[in-house]
Amino acid sequence: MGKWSRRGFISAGVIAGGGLIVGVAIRPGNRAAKLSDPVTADGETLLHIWLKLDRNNIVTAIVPHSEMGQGIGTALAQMLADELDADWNLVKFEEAPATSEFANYTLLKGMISDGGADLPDFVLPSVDGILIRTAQAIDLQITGGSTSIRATGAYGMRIAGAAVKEMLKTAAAEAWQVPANEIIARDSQLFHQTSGRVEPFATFIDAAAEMTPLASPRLKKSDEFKIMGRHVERHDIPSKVDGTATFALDVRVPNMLYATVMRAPTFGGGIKAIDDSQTRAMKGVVDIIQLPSAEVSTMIGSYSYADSIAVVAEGYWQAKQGIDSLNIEWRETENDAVSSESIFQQFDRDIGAKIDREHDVSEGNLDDAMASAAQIIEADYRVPYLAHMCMEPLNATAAVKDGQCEIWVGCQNPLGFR
Amino acid sequence: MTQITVNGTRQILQVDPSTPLLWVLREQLNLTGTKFGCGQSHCGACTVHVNGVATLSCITPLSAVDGQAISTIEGLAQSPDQLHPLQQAWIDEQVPQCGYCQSGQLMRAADLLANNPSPSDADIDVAMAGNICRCGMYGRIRKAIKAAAGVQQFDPSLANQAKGLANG
Repeated sequence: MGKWSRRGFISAGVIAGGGLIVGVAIRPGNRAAKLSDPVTADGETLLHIWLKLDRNNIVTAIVPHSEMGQGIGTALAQMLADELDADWNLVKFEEAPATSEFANYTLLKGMISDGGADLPDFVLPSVDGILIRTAQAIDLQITGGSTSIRATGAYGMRIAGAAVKEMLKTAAAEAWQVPANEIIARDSQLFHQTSGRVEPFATFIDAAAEMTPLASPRLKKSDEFKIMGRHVERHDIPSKVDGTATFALDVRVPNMLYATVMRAPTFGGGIKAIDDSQTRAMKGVVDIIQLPSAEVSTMIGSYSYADSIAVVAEGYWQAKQGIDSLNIEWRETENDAVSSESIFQQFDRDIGAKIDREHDVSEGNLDDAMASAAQIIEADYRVPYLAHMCMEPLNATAAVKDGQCEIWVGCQNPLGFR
Repeated sequence: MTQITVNGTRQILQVDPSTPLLWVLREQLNLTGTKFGCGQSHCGACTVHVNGVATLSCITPLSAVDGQAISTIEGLAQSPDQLHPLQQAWIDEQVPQCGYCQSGQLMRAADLLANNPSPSDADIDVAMAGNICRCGMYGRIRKAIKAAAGVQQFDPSLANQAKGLANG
């Protein structure tokens, strides 16, 4: 994704025209049912798109990222909690739902110079509105590129925490009939020194819920941080030591079947002939399904699937035994002889022939530097063609009902995946 | 029909006895804490205890554990409110990242500590060698095992002294 220049951004805003109005209507903090219903249970109130508060004074950061062990849920909750001046023991996080309302516009904000800090306050709600529309248009809810803290944290979580704090203070000022600037927030409570008033945040939920969060509340300076920059225990860890953490492979739906897939062993490959009679006769095997090759295009590139075959069974083990029992003759392709060895040989030939090369990064003059180097260390590094290879096998669970399909999958862009 | 005891509860199963224990646990008994990694005994994610001994459930057919006592990660804590010392050490040392291998790591480590209450670094490395952590948390795993064992953390200077004594 390229950087947006401010000029480019402003002209995008002009083109968006009508989007300005729509954008305001769905700006962060709008408590439209579509935004609120998927993330709130009884007693919880959504006060900002990324923040809810319940009657027991528990704050939940709604995190539009995938927690994969990088600790992002905890880190982003810290950023939100600090600006809110919450008691860290009363803070939780949950992953945002994969719905368009929770498209992560803050990633786009990260591409504007300084998150738009140089833009006048009055345009910020419209700017956010446009970014929300854009994020929704490209189904942006991605985790990657080291952007979660820098963009979502800086332009989502901190803003949400600070904005909600202002709302709660304003609500308390009204209730106590004192100036808002005399109210102090600390450890999930509001204090008014001269009158001796103290109330938990939760007292002011209903009044705060009537307000529109500021798009550019005052943020803390680094020397005011209490929770950010501090080592805290990750919230996702306890469930990972007692087996209760739910990974994609652990999803269960009633009467589910299990399938396993075999793909053509080479790019461009396919099934020439198949004998599945033995497999079909196996106990527990429900069906055998051939999947034709496909080209898939997404915002991050296109990829292709070779012909595949799936065995569906009552259990995984039966599906696995089924697929192993298939007699398949694969079509010959021009790639059949390709191996790691042949790929490296091709690299060597191309390097030797000095064919056109692409440079990712160019800095200084390599030839001059090499000519004047005091010492030259030479080494070859070879990286084979390999899969990303997380320990959990790639998997998904789908429930198809009444023309709708609900899918559970471990992925890095739930909205894009949808 | 196969009869096994899982985490103290007797289970009577009408399952093809050649089915690996892993799938019986995950699908028949809905104990999904035990993970499927490779299915070929290479990764250790599926480690459970059979009569207290760490065992790879992905290559252990149900027929091989007929009448035996199985423990899984769900049964590792002494009670719902009291974690196993290893589980507490895992939290204290912030061991897991993605967490997928950790059920297997913990079950393997529990077997180690049951047989060797104060393992050395070398003991830990040997015992844990079959359990792969793709996030590379091996240093923290070792630290947590030692914390749970109440063993002093590895101090290189002491090791060198010990080596000196041994060589001397």
